[in-house]
Parts: sequence; structure tokens; C-alpha cells
Amino acid sequence: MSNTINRRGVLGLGAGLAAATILPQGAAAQPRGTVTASLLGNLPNIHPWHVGNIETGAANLLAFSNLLKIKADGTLEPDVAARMPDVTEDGLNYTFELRRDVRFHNGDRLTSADVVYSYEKYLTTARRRGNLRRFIKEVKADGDYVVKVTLGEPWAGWMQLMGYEAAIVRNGSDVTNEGSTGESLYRGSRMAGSGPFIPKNFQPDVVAEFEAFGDYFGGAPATQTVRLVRVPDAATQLANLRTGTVDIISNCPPKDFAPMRQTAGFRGEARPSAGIFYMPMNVAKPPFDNVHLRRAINCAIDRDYICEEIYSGLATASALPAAPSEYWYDADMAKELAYDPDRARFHLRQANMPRGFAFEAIVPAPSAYVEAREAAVVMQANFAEVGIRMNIRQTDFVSMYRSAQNGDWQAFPHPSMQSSIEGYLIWNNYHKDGNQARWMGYRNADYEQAVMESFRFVQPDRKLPALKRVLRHLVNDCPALFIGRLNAYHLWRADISGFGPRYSYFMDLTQVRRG
Amino acid sequence: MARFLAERAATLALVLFGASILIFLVVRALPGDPAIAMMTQNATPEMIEEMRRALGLHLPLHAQYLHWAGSALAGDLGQSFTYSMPVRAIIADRFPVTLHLSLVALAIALLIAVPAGVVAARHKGGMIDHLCRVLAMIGISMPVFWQGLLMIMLFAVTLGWLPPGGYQPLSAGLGVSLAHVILPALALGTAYAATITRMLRSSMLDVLGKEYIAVARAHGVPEGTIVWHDALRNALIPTLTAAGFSFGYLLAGAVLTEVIFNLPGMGRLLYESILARDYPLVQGLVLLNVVVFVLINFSMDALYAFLDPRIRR
Amino acid sequence: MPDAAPLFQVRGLVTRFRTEAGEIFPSRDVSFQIHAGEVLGLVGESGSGKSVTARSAIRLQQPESATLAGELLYRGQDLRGLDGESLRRLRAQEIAMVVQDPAAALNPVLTIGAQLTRIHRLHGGSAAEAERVALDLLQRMRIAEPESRLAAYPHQLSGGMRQRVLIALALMCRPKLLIADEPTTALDVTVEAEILALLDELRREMGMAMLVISHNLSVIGRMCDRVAVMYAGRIVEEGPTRELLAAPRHPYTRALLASVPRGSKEDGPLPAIPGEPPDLARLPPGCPFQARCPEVGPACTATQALRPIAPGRAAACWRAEAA
Repeated sequence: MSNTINRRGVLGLGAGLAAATILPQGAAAQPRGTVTASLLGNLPNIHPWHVGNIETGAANLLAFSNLLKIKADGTLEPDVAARMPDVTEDGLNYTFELRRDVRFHNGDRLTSADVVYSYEKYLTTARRRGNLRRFIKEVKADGDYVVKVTLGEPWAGWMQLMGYEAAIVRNGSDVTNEGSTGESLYRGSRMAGSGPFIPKNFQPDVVAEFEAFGDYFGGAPATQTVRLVRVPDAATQLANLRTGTVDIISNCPPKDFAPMRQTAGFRGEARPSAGIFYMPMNVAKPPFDNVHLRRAINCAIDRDYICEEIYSGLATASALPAAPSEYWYDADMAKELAYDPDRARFHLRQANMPRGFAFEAIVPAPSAYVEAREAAVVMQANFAEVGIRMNIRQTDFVSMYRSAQNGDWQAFPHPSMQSSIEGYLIWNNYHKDGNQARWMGYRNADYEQAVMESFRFVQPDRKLPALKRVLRHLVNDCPALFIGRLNAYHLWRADISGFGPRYSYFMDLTQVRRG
Repeated sequence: MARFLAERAATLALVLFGASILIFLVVRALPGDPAIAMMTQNATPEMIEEMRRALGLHLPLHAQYLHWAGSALAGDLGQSFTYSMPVRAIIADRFPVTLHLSLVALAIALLIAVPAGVVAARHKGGMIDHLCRVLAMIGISMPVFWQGLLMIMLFAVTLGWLPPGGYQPLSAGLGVSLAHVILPALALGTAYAATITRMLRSSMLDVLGKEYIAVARAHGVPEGTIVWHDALRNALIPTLTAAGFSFGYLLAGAVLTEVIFNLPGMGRLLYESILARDYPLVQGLVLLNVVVFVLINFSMDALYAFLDPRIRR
Repeated sequence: MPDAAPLFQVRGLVTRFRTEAGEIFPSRDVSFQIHAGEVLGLVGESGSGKSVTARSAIRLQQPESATLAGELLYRGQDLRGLDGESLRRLRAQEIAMVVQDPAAALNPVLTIGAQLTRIHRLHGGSAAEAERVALDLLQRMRIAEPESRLAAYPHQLSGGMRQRVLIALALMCRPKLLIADEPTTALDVTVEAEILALLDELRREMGMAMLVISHNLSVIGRMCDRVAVMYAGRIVEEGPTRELLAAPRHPYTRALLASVPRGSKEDGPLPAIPGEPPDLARLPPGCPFQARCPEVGPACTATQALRPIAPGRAAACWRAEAA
């Protein structure tokens, strides 16, 4: 099973790279035609940094540029930066040199003043995922085309997060005010962005239309008009794709993906993403303050079955936060937590609870990404096999987070989209300063040290020793049950190219074209 | 007539006042917090508190209510948390969609239900009656979303006759507009048609047993006139009243229909605004629903008076 | 006149009625005949089957009832053999009916005018002509301000007025045969007398035959040439009104007469006959009256057919024959 997934992932990656190399750079042919993509979730705005979901992410990528951007495989590449930044050995000082040919949609040149303005606005706005503020001490210009970023603590992952949401707007753009929400939204004004497309027409939650920006610094887009339409039901999205009303869809029911991609006239690809399906446990409260019970939980779940049957292969089973194909995965450690009912029973005996125990799992509904409820039912059956009773409480995400913040929870099996697992989740959930760490309840000084150590580096080989330490702690202490990594998958009509699933899960339509 | 209208207006004002308090409290009784909904999982408690202040949620309840109700009286329903747009503007965008859908669904429901109910009553116990009953059962029990998907698969994907969803206003042309609204209206209208059929059938059976029907027959009035004119006019009175009250369910069914058929209407908006704990938007939408409901009841009263001379003034 | 062929002749009518308690037979081998211009009374207690019999005779049945046997000869033609359209045309032109409860017999959502004029227009008359006929009839029925009544709805009229309208409705087509089913039961005594007088006057003028159904012997006595007494779905005695009322031969007829306080209006069912009215779903063999009959004898358990007992008279009792 995991072989299939791997191959699928590699295929997706290959296609993404191939598409990128084929596309012309610099002004070539005139932009032509219209490509329509459908989105499942809310599309309430087109905003430089209010990116809350795949949908707003797709719009953001079309209209705005960042210092760096995230490639299909999750690695970074320069965007308005001329090249990757110079980073000092302590991991605290980043120097970006900007391209000199970047223009905003109104024709103004992009300079370091715009970058500084954007970061200042961004860092003082309440409404964002915001951890940059914690780490970034200062952003300043050094001449017109150099920007220096100083961190308070090392964290290479900030660039990944920035790649999603800290887009650059023109100096002076009114993207914030002190209205009821603390922000106003960018609605089709030509002055703010420097992305390959200009927002032309926007009806919240209905349609966002973008037209090609001929002076885009990366070369004029191949497509004249890109439309994002909202289709809030996955099955209906598929129907729209089949009738040709849309060319690309963001989601379809997992079970329909494999048959559809084999249908003539359609294409589909899947690849590992930064999404994860896991069940954090409240380490601060019974029953999960007992590490033996957490281990029992980890050994009781048949991850392969859930990923293959419930997610139709669109999740890749892994007992670790790392996916099996990633550099920091460790097969030996994963084995310690592999599905093994006898081993689960052994851990129950260690906990002096040989007959099992009961706990409550809060399951979010509805869930935009994957079938969390069905998965929870399978988990229930797995647990029952060793005497563990999982009671399911269904609630929506907002209620869940309220419970979580009150400490009123035991376990929370859910799919989650992350900017990065090794660059963010390991810190956010289990480092004492992480935003979710307060309610996860896990404290381990050596773990925290290992996380910060890994954050100093950009290069995988230099991060690896620290990440192995991180994994060691997670396997020993089991603060969560990791079930698998979600795949990004999309379907599109065969006459569309320049598009593929991405590590970030967001749809990047900047290079999409017909033919 | 003026007195009638004045009474109704007073009732409306009272209902709205009561409803506004109720809505305000119920929305706030939902577990969770709009600030959390807006911040997603990575926010710290400090950030959430900051957001609560920005949204005015740190104020005591009565102050929040007075602020909201005061602006609402002046026609300002506040600013949506999610869309950062005036609630009134969002509703002005979405309401026509739901209204359009509901009216077409209502027309379809009546077009199906009136003949079906009459024919079923006239041939009580016969094949047609049984057929109508079975179809009505299916219509009532078949989930709207399932019916909707089947219709999309058939008419849009397989046959390619109609678009699979989306909305086009009347200004886009009658044909285009109708092509987009007909499938969702059918999905929505059939369940409603089934309800009306059953009501009309029993009401027709009752009327057909009345003495004045026997008298009309005795005087040689043609059967068609008796059924479609004499009996139907009487049977429609209770049916339309009941149908008017259940028009509310039509609006409720619109939530799923709007999701499946991708219509940017109020049903879908309400559902999503509740998930997002977008208090001003939820309040505005529910308040509008209350107004619509009350207005429907008023027009039902008026229709009743028009149809039944006994209660005409 | 009695030698001429009757206008309407019912022979051996058997009807069935389904109720929740089971099947009952409101008409059990009922026969009678009416000549042109003649008035036949059908008298009996409530539940004796008079109404169902009369309605079945012109095929105006509720869905629960069915005619199992019999001939319904109108001008020698069996109504049971007519298709729906011929039957409708016949009703529109020659047969009409007045019923007991005028409040229920008029369509509440149609104006009096609409209900009246359309009857006339069924024969192809113009709207203006129909209105003139309706106005004329309302005047004949002594309804004040007939023009404004035409625009009124039934609920805007008094009970007596509604009954007059109902009669006018029946007379719009100048029928040859009028079935009057308890035409005055809902009215008070003075109105009743007035309506009966009017009906009688119009009948003579138009030369109508009538079948008057009533449980009220004084109404029957005033209106009818001949009378048939019904009990438990059967006609138990028949004869010219005057003779029958003066010298009843069947014990039931005698009991019925004895229970009427003469000269006063009778409301509701007759309470004075001892014993309970029979349960139509469970009749004993033989004479249905035997359980209540003061003169019951061994022969009563045999079926008592209606048989001639004197010229123009018949009764279904072995004692009547013997007398």
C-alpha cells in the first residue's frame, strides 16, 4: 500500500517539476483563454495575508508575491527575492536581495520600502495565524533592494509560513483599519499586489476572477483569465468537472478520485502534503497523563487500513509525524508504534489496566478535508479489540477549540493542514512556547532544546540529528497518535496543463494553461 | 383595511422585538467563540482576547444587544466578521437568490401537487391514488441532497441538458436563469409538492363528501366543474394555509439545495455563518427569516380571506 | 291516470352501505312508482333507509354505497344503464333534488347568483337570460331584494332564505321530477308552512312529480297524494295518503301515527315508539319490526312481502292481510 502512495507522490512531484520547466520565462506569447477552478470552502476575501484556507490561499497566490515561495514539493525558491537569503551561522540574521524588475499591478516598482511596510502591517495585525511576531524582531531596508530580517530566536520555518501568508503589498496600501474586524479587505484594487494576475471581479463566496498581469516579473501568464468559483459540495464539484463547467477541482470524495483519474479526458494526481491526520491526547489529565495508556493507544490502531479504506489511499500511513518518503522519517522508530494488539495489551498491563479503559474523542464535523468521522468509527473498532472504549463526541472546530482552551478534552482525532510539520507543528504543539502547547499539556526540556536546535538550519542534513531527537521523544512519550499524512490531490480536465497538487495543498494556478 | 394593516404592523413589531432578543441570546449560547473561529488553531489566548475586543465581544451582553438593536433600527445590521462587509449588503446579494429559488420551487410544487392531489382524491383507492401516494412518500422521504445529486448526474452530466449548478439572475436572460434554477427548484419543490399533495388529497376527499357537491351533481353540473371548480376552491383554503406555514420548511430545505447546486443563497450563508460564529451575520439572517415568515403568515391570512367569503370583511 | 305508464318506477332496489361496523342494506327490495305530476311520500324513522333509497334511485350515491340489484325506470329507461354523461344531462334537464340542510347544500365559496345561473346555462342559455330566470324564481320564492341576493354568499343568508334558494336552485331547470329530502326539517314551523305552500304552488304550476322524504307525517299529509312507509330498508305499507293515515294497516304505521302529537310540528326522531330502532347490520329473519311489534305472532319470523290488501293499498304484514 505505501508503495502505491509513494509512486503516486513521486509522479505528482515529477509532473509539477516538468510543468515548471516547460513554461516560458519572460514575455512570450500573449495570454489566452480562460481556466476555471472550483473551490470547496469559503472564499470571503482576496487578502495579502488573511489566508485561512486553501481557497484564500489560491487567490492569494494569484494576486500577490512573497519574498520566497513554496514549490510543489514544499521546498523554497526565490520569488521577489533575487536568490535564497544569506543566513548567519546563529540562524538569527537573514539578508534578502530583491529583484529589480518587480512591478505592482499599477506599474510602480517594488522596493525594500514596500517589503518593510508589508511586514510592519502584517506583524501588527491581530487577525492571522501569526507566529512571525514571536520570532521576528526586526525587518529593515538596507538601500532600495536589500531587506534584512532579524530573529529573536532561530526558526528557519518562518519562511515557510511567510510563503503562505505574508504577501507583499505596495507601500501605503490600505489593508488594515480599525473597523469592527480590525481589517478591511482588498477588493480588486489595482494598487496592492505584484502577482501574475490582477483581481478583476470578486463576489465573496461565489466567484473571483483574475486577469493576466502582462508586466509580471516572471513573464506574462499563459492564460488570460483565471476564475475561482465556489462549489461547496465535493460531489457537485465532480459533476461540474465532468460537464466542463470547471476545469480543475480542489476536492472530490476520496473514493471517486482513483476511478476518475483513469477516465479518458481527465487527469488527477496526488502527492504528500503538509496535512496530517492525528489524535493529540491531553497529557495533563487522566487517563492520558499515563504514558503507558498513550502507548497502548498508539499500538492499537491499524493505520494502513484507515488510510487505504477510509481515505482511499489519499492518506499515507505513518506512526510518526514524518511521512515515510521524507528525509527525517525513521522506520525503526515507527516500528515501535506499529499496529500490534498484543503490544497494546502489554502497555495496558503496564498501566495496571489490563481490561482497558474509556475515553472521549472529540470528532470535528463537518470536516473539509477528509472523512474524519468514518475514520473515528474504524478507530473505535480497533480500540475495542484491546478493550479500550472510545466514545465519540461530534462537534464543529470552533466548539472544539473552545473546549481545548478550557482544558476540557481528552483526545481530538482530526485532520489538520499545517504550513510545515517539521518546521512548525513540532514546535507549535509541544514546545512550551507553542500556541497549542498550552492545551496539549506536554513538557519536556530536552525535546524543546531539540526543536530549537533543528530550527537553526535550513539544510535537511543539518537539521536531521535534532529532528531524530525530536522523533525519539515523540515515540517514547506518545503525546499524540499519528495516523498518517494527508495527500494533496486534485482532478482536472486533460486539456489543462501547468497544474498539479502541492505540498502546501493550496492550488497554485499561476502557471495554469489550456493545451 | 387600515385597521387590519395597523394590527399586523404592531404584531410584526412585537414579534421582531421578541425574536431579536431570542436570536441575540441563542447565537451567543452556541459553544465556541467568533474570535477563535477567525483566528484558527494557532492563535494564542492573548491574540484571541485582542480579537474579542476588536469585535466588541468584551462588552456586557446588554450593551452588545443595545448597540446591535439600536443600529438595526436605523437599518444597520452591523459588519460581518467573516466578510468584513456590512451584513445588509451581503444579505442584499444573497436574498434574491433564495427568493428566486423558493418561488420557482413553490410554483413547481403547486403545479405538481394540485393536479396530483385532486386526481388522487377523485380516484380514491384506485391505481392513480396509490401511485400518487407512493410518489408522495418518495418525495417526502428522499433526502434533498441525494435527489439533487441524482438530478445533476442525469440532467447535467449524462444528458448535458442543464448546467450542474451555479446561479444566474433574471437579468442574465430568462432562459439562462431558468436553466440554472430549475434543477434545484425541482429538488426543493418535490418534497414540498408531496406535502401539499397529501394535504390537498385529504381536504378534497372531505369536500367531495359534502352535501353541496351531491346537490351540484343532482343538478347535472358536469363532473369536471364539480371537481376542479366547486370542490377545489373549497379544498384549497385549508391546503394553502397549511402550505403557507410549511413554506418555512422550504427555506430550511434551501440550505442543502443551495450547497449541492452551488447557489449563493441565504440558506448556505446562514449555515456557514453559524459555523464561523459570525454573530452579526447570523443575527441579520435569522431576523430576516423571521420577517419573511411573519410576512408569509400575513399574506396567508389575506389569501384565506380572499378565498373564503365567510371570513371576508 | 293510474293506468298510464309511470314517470319513474323503482323495482326491487337493493343497496349496500359500508360502515365501520360492517355492511348494512338501507334498501332491501324496495319498489315504488311515481306518475307525472304525482307526489309520493316516503316516511319512516331516521335510519330507516329513506334517504339512501331516494338518492340511490337517481344514482346519487356516496362512494361507500352501492346498488346491488333493481331497476330504476325513468320514462321506461333504466337509469342504471345510462353512461355518466347521459345521466348528467337527464339530471340537468328533468330531475332535481332539494335536501335537508340548506347550510350544507350550498357551496360556501360561490355566490347565490353563480350557483343559480350556471344551472340554467347548462342548457345553453345566455348569462343574461339565466339571470332573469334566477331573479324571477327568487321573486317567486318571495325573497326580498333578489338582485342583491344574487351577489351574496350563502353564509350571508338566513336559514329560511337558504332553503328558498335551494328550492329555486332545484327549479331552475323546470324539472319533471323533484326529490325533496326532508325539505323543511331545518326550518321553524311558520317558515315550514310557507315553504311547503310555495313548493306545492310551484309544483302545480310546473306539473312536477315529487318524491317527498320525511319523518314528519304532517308534512307528508299536507303534500302527498300517496305515501309509502319505510322500516329497516323495506317498504312496509303503501297507499293513498288520506286512506293510509285514516286507517293504517301495518302495526308499524299505526305505531308511527300514534306517536305524533297531531297538529304540532315534530322535531327529531320519534321517541314514542317503544323499543329501540333496529340495528340494520344485524336484522332478524322475517319481519324487521317483530321485536317492537305489540301484535307479534309466530308468523312474523317468516319473510313478509309487500302485498295488495285493498285497491291501491299494500302492506307487508300477515295481520294486515287478515284484517
